[in-house]
Amino acid sequence: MFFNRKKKQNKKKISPAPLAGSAKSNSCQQPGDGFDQVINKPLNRRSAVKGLTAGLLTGAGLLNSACSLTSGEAGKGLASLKWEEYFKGNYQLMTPEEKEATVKRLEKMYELANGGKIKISAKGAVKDVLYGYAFNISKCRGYMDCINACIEENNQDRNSQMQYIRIHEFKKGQMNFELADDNFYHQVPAAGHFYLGTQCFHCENPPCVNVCPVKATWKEKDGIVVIDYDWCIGCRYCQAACPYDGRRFNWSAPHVPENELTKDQHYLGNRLRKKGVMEKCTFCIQRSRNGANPACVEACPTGARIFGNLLDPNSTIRWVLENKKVFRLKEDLGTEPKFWYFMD
Amino acid sequence: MAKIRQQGANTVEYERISSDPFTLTLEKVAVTNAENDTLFFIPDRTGQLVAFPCNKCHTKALSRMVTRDPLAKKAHWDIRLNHVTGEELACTTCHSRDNVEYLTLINNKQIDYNKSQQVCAQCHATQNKDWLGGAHGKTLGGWAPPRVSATCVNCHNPHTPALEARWPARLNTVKIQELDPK
Repeated sequence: MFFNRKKKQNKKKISPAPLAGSAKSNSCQQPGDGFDQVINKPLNRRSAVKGLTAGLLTGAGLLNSACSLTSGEAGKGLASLKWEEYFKGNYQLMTPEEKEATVKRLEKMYELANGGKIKISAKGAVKDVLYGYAFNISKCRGYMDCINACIEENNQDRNSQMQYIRIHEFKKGQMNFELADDNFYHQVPAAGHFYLGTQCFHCENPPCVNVCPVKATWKEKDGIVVIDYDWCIGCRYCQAACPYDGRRFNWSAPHVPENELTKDQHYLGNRLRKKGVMEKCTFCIQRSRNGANPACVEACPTGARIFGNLLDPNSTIRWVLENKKVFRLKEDLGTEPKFWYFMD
Repeated sequence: MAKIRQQGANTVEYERISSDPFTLTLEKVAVTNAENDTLFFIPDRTGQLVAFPCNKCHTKALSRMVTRDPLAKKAHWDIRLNHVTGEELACTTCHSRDNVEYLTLINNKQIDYNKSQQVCAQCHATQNKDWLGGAHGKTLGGWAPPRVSATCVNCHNPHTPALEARWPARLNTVKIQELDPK
């Protein structure tokens, strides 16, 4: 059933934000949530037998734990929430009510499992906003305060020391990434060197999105490339397709100490991931969609990082693009990153 | 008076987003960017200075405090001028010789401490241009308008303006172990 579900998703054309009501009237297109996609799908004999067998197997296990005499009230709630979460749809196909429901379930599940309270948002893109980023390579001094802020804000795995941002140290006079030192271990800035940071560039034409077999990653209306962590199957095609080393994979269950957890979360952003899914920079979607700067921009002590709205002619990012000599990495690939580098 | 939006009128509702909530506690001063006639804000400086106003201690103008006696007591003994390599600068290059409450331009025009960027801009014209546009310096608050930017003295100590070399804030020990497994 698991495989079946994803396979169906792949074949189907994803239509943006369908209405819940239209799901029943139009059975061949099948928009709607995961329940409609999985349970209410039209059956032929073959898929019915296949679905029934797999469903019985998973269902039996979940029901078993839900009705167990030994598990308490809290355990019961968790099991039924897990059950509902298992059958939810792709985030892109959810109605606003379904998004709200899954966010509430995730908050409740965290509370039942860990005791603490978190706040998950499902806030959509702000109208007339397209995010862009500029990085001043004359100003970056390799302090790496941005990386620390990013890890804390985005709840990255502490054990594997996963980092979305990499700071590369180059000898002045060339910019060959094969000769760059990414693990420098000395006082910075070193004489005769310059520093350049990379992360997800949120391409306008993202190759990672095209290769995803289950449509678990996509570009939002405000230009942010996001991942539905609950729909990702962890095939890592996107990691292979990204020409910029922008994506990271969870080889083990991520560990974040409770007291270091950022509790203001977004469904597509810094909520806790699980083992076997992809993650990456989201321009701190939980912050940027509220008007704040990403954590890296806020933490940078040199002002090398500039973030803003590309559609606002008075924004600082637009001034940089119009007045400084900017370049992007691997422009010949046609990926159109929304991440520019410039010099003083 | 702002126009009152009529209910049911054929108006398009745009979601307004603002960075105001992030700088509510910050005292701000407006700065005009003459290049494109826009306005932005910088943090208030005079409220941040511990010893301001200067007449709490000083009663004389700076020009009358100058002494050649090397053993004379200094009011700001802890301030060492490390700005430009040689001996081009003195206290009175930036601080008004006639009125302790003001900074000065090279033509002796008195400048308010809240507009100190005008003093810096005399020499650092390119940096000032970049700063007004937004390529130099930090944005405080958020990306959304209104823009609130740090001014020169929020990052650079005017007496010792260079940023110091230091160790990076973090080192990825997993990677270092991979490189050198001992």
